[in-house]
Amino acid sequence: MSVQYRAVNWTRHKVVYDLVLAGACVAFVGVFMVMSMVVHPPPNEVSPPILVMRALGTLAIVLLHVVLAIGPLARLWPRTTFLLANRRHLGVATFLVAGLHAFVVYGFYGGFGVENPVLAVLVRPDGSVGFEFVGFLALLVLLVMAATSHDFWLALLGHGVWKAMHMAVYVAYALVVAHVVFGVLRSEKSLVFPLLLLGGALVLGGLHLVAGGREWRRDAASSDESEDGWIDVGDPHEIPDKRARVVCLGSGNRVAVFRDGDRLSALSNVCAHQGGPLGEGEILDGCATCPWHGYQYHTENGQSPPPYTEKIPTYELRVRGGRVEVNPRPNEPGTPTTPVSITEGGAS
Amino acid sequence: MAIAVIAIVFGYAGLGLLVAIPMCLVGLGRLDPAAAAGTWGFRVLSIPGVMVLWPVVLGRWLKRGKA
Ligand code: HEM
Ligand code: HEM
Ligand code: FES
Repeated sequence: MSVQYRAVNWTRHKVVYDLVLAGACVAFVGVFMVMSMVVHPPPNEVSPPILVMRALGTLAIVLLHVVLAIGPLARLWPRTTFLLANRRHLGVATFLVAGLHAFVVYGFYGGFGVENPVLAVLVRPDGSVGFEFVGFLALLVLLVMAATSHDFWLALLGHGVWKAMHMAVYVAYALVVAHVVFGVLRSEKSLVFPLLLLGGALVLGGLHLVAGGREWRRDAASSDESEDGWIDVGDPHEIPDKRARVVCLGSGNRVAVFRDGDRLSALSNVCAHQGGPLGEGEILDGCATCPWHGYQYHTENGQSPPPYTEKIPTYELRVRGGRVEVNPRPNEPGTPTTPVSITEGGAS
Repeated sequence: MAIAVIAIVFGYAGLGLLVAIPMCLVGLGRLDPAAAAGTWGFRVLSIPGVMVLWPVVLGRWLKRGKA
């Protein structure tokens, strides 16, 4: 959307978000260390570098859970969408915290450069590898995503490829779980850690299943074809003003049918920015506005207002027998259409 | 085996760092007009990205150069 790229497109909202995030991270490390000192009083205390190491590792895995939970949460409770808009910052924060954790480990066990730190930590003297190596692989995956997170890379790769790369976050999650299971649970006798890990996995799995199931049912419910292939969208009066109804076409593409007063127009449901669900947004300043980061499109031609140049496909609509129908063949991105009136063709 | 993986990762990133210097100064701007006007912050921030994706960006830059 920007006409010129900068490092971070700071807005007031993002500054507040990042400050809160940074404050929460510092507080987490502090509370973790104090708690640990209470639970393990001298002479059984854990040395401070190891505590910092554990605090940062634990914070990283907590952040990873939050990142993974946001997607399905935002689908189930639209109120939490504001978390999603800044998921990128959360993702990068996860990487930075995990990197700091690894750095402290290298520093402590590698003697801050006395031995070759990379080899000292990752490879045992007999040439075998342990859980640290699995952590290293997880960190590499997070690095790839954080390094390519800027909108520039998104535009260069196209959001299909970029999104596919992002799915690697699940690989990172699996590696982190293995890292913790083999690294910590071996020596920790307490049941707290395995239970937390299991609980986290169950919550994440549950959220994804529920959100995915709901999406799937909605798609299955909404594709009645008429004889000439147009798809039924339903009674236009049921679409709330300034909002959209999303229907799934046989091809798997989704269309957002927006209502602005008594006029209806249809756009692709896929935002040109990062593929956000445009139809879950609303019409602001006369434009369909994506709920994720606020990209806007004129409803009648799918074009972003100048100076922005994004274009998304539009679709033809008609009203027959009091029901809206959409032609499943998309127009070229940015093609003007004529909005139809709710009552056109005679309401039943 | 592990040492081979580590050597490949670091070798790849090292080459990427070499590619990143001309890439962030000129190359990216040839690929995307909005990057040509990019700030210094953007250029520095692109270095790790180039280190990860350097075969892709280098390939696109060379193809662009010939066309
Ligand atoms: C360590 C780094 C990161 C982690 C752990 C992570 C995590 C995830 C996850 C879990 C998904 C897919 C799940 C879903 O669609 O609900 C995803 C997709 C996404 N990520 Fe990240 N991410 C990271 C970095 C970033 C960065 C740097 C960005 C910035 C662009 C970003 C923004 C997004 C967005 C907007 C999606 C949704 C894509 C779509 O559904 O089309 N994340 N990321
Ligand atoms: C090069 C990468 C990494 C190395 C070398 C590494 C190394 C270690 C080591 C040595 C420990 C044990 C600390 C102790 O003595 O108690 C540990 C624990 C841990 N690591 Fe990593 N790690 C890496 C990456 C990661 C990543 C990417 C994550 C998560 C995103 C992570 C999460 C954790 C967690 C949760 C613990 C357990 C903390 C605790 O004891 O309570 N690590 N790691
Ligand atoms: S996905 Fe970012 S604004 Fe739509």
